[in-house]
Amino acid sequence: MTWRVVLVVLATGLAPAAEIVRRDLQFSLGLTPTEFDYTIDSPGGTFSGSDAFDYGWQARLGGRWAITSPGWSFAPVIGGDLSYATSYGAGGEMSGLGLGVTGGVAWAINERWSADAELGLGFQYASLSLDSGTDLSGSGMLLATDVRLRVLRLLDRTWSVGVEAGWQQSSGTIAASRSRDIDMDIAGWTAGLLIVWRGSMRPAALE
Amino acid sequence: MRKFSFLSMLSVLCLAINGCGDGTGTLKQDAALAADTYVALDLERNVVEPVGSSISPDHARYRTTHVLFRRIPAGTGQTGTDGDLTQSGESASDTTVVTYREFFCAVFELTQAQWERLTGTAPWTSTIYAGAFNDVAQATGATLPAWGMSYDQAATAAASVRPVDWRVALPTTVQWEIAARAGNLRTPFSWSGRVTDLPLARTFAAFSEAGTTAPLPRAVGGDRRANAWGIFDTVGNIGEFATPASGSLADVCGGAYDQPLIVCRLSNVLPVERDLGHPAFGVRLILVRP
Repeated sequence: MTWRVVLVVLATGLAPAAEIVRRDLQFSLGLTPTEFDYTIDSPGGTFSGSDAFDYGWQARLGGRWAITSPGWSFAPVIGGDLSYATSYGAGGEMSGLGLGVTGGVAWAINERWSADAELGLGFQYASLSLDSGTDLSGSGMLLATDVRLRVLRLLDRTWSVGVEAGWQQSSGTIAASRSRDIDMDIAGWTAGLLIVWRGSMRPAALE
Repeated sequence: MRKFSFLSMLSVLCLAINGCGDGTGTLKQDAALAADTYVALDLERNVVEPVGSSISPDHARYRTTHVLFRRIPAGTGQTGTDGDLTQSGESASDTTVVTYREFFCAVFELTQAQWERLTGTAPWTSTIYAGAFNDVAQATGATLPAWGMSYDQAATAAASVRPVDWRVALPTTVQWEIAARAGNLRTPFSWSGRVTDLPLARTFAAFSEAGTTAPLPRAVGGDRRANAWGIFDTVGNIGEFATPASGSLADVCGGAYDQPLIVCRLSNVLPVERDLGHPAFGVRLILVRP
């Protein structure tokens, strides 16, 4: 049964009727990983462990552009995102602004449905605040990598909605107050919803 | 029907994924241990807990079931005194500049209740000390400093406490004096007074000129004042074992209840055999990350 489904999906993807188009602006709202490992480096020694925020979410505004030609169902797609992420719980809060680039492939499943697979690389300037007995807070740069799968459904000529899921890892050092450094390594699943605006459905030029 | 509810879909995702994020609080706890001024060693559970940075040390548990420690930030300090030279008999050449890493110093001398909890012994009840006081019962009490053990016994007791990721020990002689001085490098004591200023000294220390009755150890802390770093009884009350940088002897620092104030000055160290116990010798612990 499974192989039949696979064949149908492949056949659908290879059918010439659907043509991939990506000239999108997209906004997504989703959940980010909450579990992390940490190491606090203080003048008196190091403190390491694993912990989790209660919640983490991210808003992302970005663009995607498919490098395509007429008749292509598959095409490479590139893009970039501005993001704001925040996580809270574990006795504190971490939030940050990020900037990243993505690259991957897009596939027009049919006239209405399409899917993307992409890798992302970005930086996030993060601020961490912990409400321990002595306030410990700081900021630093996190390097984030992620892989995402996305499915979009065309609503009309301009708007699409979609869902995405993936895996994200962010790591870096927060330079905290009182000469403490906190190494953070955050990893886990992501999921989100998107709304996409496409300015033009005009097919790619023949020349 | 094409109507998509963006928020309702997000709600479903939240329900599906948020289960992975129930914070355990360990980052908060470790951040407090890494930054708070005070931590406490729970002698019953053998764990180190953050206490905060602005506390009242008066709570009875810090003299019985817990040992309260004060963070001593890493830095460069000085041992020895370069002030009040004529009275203490020291010269400027007695001073030494030292660099030290961060450690925690016990706010109080170890009490008899704490010692008994640590070791299950009570050396102050030994028959060899029966004649040390007119009535030895007056030197016995839960919140009085533990006394009568040797350096070796004290070091063994300290090493027997093994909270995870911490080491409990006796201070080195340098660590002891750094904590006792609390940054005051100009006078023989942690306060800015001369050795002849007994009324001022009595507010900080228990020493032999301090009372009219026969000298006795007094409850740790008591009504005396702490030094600038919040540490009590570094001068007088009970002599405190410390580990010298070299040699086979132990050091006893800070003088004791039965000694005159000038003997209790911070730079005065009494070398003793490591297996020697005495009614004026006791313990102050330190805590470090290995």
